Amino acid sequence: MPKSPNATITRVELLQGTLDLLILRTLLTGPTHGHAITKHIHRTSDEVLHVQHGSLYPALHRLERKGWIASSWQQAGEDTRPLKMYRLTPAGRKQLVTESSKWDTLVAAIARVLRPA
Amino acid sequence: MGHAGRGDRARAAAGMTSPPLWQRWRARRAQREAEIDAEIQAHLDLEASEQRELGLSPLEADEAALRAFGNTLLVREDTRQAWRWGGEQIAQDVRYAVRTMRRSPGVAMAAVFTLALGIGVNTAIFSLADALLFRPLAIRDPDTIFTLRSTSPESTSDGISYPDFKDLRERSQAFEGLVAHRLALLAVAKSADVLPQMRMGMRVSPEFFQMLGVQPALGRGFLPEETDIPGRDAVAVLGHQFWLTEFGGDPQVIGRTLQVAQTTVTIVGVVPAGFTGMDPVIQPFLYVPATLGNSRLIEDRSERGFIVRGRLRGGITRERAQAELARIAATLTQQFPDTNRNRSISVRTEWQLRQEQAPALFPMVTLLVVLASVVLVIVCANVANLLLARARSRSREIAIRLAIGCGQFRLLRQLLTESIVLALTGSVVALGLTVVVIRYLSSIRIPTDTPMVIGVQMDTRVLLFSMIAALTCALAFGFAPAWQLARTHLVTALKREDVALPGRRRRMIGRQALVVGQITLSLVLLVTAGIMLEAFRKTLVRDPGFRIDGIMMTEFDPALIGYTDAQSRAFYQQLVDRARTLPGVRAASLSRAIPFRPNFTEQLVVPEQYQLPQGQQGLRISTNTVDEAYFDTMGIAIVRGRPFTIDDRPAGRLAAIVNETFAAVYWPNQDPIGKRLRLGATGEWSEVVGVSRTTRYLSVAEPPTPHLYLALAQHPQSRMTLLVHASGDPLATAEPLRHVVQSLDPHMPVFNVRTLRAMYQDGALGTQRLVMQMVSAMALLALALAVVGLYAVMAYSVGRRMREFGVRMSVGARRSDILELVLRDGLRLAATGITLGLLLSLPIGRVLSANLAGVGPVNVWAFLVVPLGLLLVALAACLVPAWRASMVNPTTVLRLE
Repeated sequence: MPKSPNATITRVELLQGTLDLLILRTLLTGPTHGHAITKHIHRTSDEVLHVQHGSLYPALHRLERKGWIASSWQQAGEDTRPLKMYRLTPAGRKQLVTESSKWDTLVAAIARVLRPA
Repeated sequence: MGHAGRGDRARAAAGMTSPPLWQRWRARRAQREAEIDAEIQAHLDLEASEQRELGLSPLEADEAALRAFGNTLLVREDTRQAWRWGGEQIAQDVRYAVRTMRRSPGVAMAAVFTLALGIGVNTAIFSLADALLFRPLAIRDPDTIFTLRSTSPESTSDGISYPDFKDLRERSQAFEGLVAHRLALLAVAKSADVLPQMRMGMRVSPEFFQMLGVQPALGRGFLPEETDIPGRDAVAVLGHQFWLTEFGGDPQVIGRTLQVAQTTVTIVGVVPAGFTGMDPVIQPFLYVPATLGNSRLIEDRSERGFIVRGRLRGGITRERAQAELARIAATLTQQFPDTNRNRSISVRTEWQLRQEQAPALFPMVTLLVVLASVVLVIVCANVANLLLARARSRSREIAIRLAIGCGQFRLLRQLLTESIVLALTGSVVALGLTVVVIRYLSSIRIPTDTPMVIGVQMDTRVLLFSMIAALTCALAFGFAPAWQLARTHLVTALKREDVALPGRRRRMIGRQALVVGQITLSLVLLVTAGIMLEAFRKTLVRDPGFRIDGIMMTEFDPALIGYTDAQSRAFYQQLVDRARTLPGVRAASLSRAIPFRPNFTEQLVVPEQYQLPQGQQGLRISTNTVDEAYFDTMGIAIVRGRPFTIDDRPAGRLAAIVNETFAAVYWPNQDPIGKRLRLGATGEWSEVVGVSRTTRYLSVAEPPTPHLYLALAQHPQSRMTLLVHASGDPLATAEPLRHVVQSLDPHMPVFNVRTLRAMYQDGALGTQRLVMQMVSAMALLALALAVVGLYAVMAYSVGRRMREFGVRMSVGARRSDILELVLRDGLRLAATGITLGLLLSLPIGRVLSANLAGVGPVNVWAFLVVPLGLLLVALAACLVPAWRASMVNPTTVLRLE
């Protein structure tokens, strides 16, 4: 992938499962649309995680197909174009809890290996 | 959405049903794809407006948004993919494959046609092998059924007698059920006043149908009490074919009667269509209880004619069953020392039994299967070459697909799908060819009155095989081109390079290797065919040792219509006397057995002054019982002593005649005349009165075998064949003979009426000729394919090198030089293939000559003429491309720069 001329940001390759986790977490705070999710992840990670915008959409639709998120087209105002809003479902909420704890376990294990007590 | 809903409502209002499922599904899919596009567009717009707020111009903002987004096309595809079910991808691949095929119809048709030939040949051969060897019995759980055979030191596989069977059934715990059955020729008539016809039936023990799990299509099987007590119940179950042909499939057939073996029997059932008996080839017309009619068969403990089969009880291993049976057999030996001396029982699987019963079949089938596989390999090579040639023209299309983000793996899968579609289409076309071949094979009738049918048919097993063959082919021929295409070098492909780069030379070698391989294999096939033709030719000219032309044969069995032994003797005497007085008859004789049929009796013989092998009570010698005119009628020379005469009377000294081989093996360097031998371990001594020339007995290709003749007068038989030597056309005696029989007894059935020449042609030679035809056909097919393959590669290479030839000619080469150049290239390929083929053929020739009589391992015809012939044909194939090359117009070619 060609780097943009101002790339000082490290692009971390995100595994598919991790991206799903980030999306679910983002939606925990409230329903939003795809563009906002990319911005949120970018911002909240202190600009370390710069997700390529395009890779978000297959992930979103996959999650929707699994039933962890749901979508609806909404029109914010009269002249603005309709946007597809995503929200977390109860099943998605449960999935988020499971995946988060799995992630924590993984991170802790790696940390133990890197810094043996 | 609203739009679709309005349409639905409108349709409903109009009274029409809602559109079919797949139409709705398509509409939904289109809607979803539109939404995805809208969503992506919305994202891009948002990002662009953000960038504009950061100060970029609208154009730059759009570009920044796109850059941040990534590959729009890929994202759209991946997002759509998230909603697709697995099969949709495959459907997509298949649709694409069909489109590709349509774009180059010539290649597609050539590939499909070639594949159809290869797959068709293999499927046809498989169906033959299935019918003869592989197909399991059409019964419940055939894997649990085993066959019991009686063994002794002299014989490894005999049938079991009915009394032994009854004891086994009573005493065995290892088997859930045991049944006995045997094929039996029965005299069958619809009513008492009609001349009975000989029909092959099957005598069965109690619970035959129940144990095997065969559910009658009509009526019922036999009740246990019906088959146990001799002569009490006269019932029969019809074979399905018999029911259709003789009773027209009448559903009211239950309760009707038939005359079987002089008894009126009631029909109680009809077997289902799928069940054709317990033998792969012989289909019984009807089933009767073993106890029907002739009781000698079921009471004689030494009459080992029944085949016993049993279903192994769950949890019992074959070894345990074997051990138990050995114990029971030992008890029987103790109880009945006269009949069961040294007898044991062994357990065989169905596969082992088939190998025993028809040992010649296995090598023949193996040969055909191997040859068919070789043809298939050649076919795959041809198609692979075709695809490789076409690959170049597709490289641009592939490069574009790779450039826009199609993964290599996905591309590979796509290309393999194309191959699979080609192969499956080929197999569908092949089915047509297979049906034709199957129809031809099943029309072959083995010339006997017994219903021997090669049950070749198009069933699920054959279809499954066809599909598997197609898929294997697809992988074989499709993988190399697909792999090559998937690794297309993007830059050169997109630049439309037509120059033959140095790297390209490497690729041609793959195709050349394929062609060389094809030629090698086809040479091997041709050499095999050549060797077999030679063996067959030698067989034809081999003298069987007896007269073949001018002999008419008619078979009788008076016992089938109730004659006593005395009555049979009288009948036969009158028959042969009257036959001799017919005009045009030079000689007539009676014989128990005729050549080329497995009807010789295996007699236990003890020659005097001969040391028998350890543990054996005697030797198994094939024996025939003949009258005094036999040797004269059949033209068999008596080299020492005399033939039987009327002086060899029933009460007199028992006489025997042996053949030369018998004398040479058992009384070497001694005069056999006057020597004695006994029949059976405790029989009376017979004296050898003559030595006959050794002839062929069972097959034309057999090695010299010891043989024994007994005098008919001293060993009367019920079933005999009348042999008539006619001075003119033997068929002319058929009618007069029939009159003679009619005058003796109008109810006497006659069967197997034919000339010995016809029997020899169809029976003895028939199978060999059929195999020959199949092998030759496959060899010729292989040749055609290899030659076409060679031509294709040469034509392709010439097409690529046109510019080179133009350059050569413009610097002074003559047309003949170009011609020579191309021909040399082509012949080089052919010569390599032929040399390799010859090297490969040497060990194969050795194997064949070991199995076929009369051919040496190195055969002039096969190893010299065939390669030369192939070389010439290859030369002809290269000629056309070479000619085209030499006709090239330098200016035209060089102008296309």
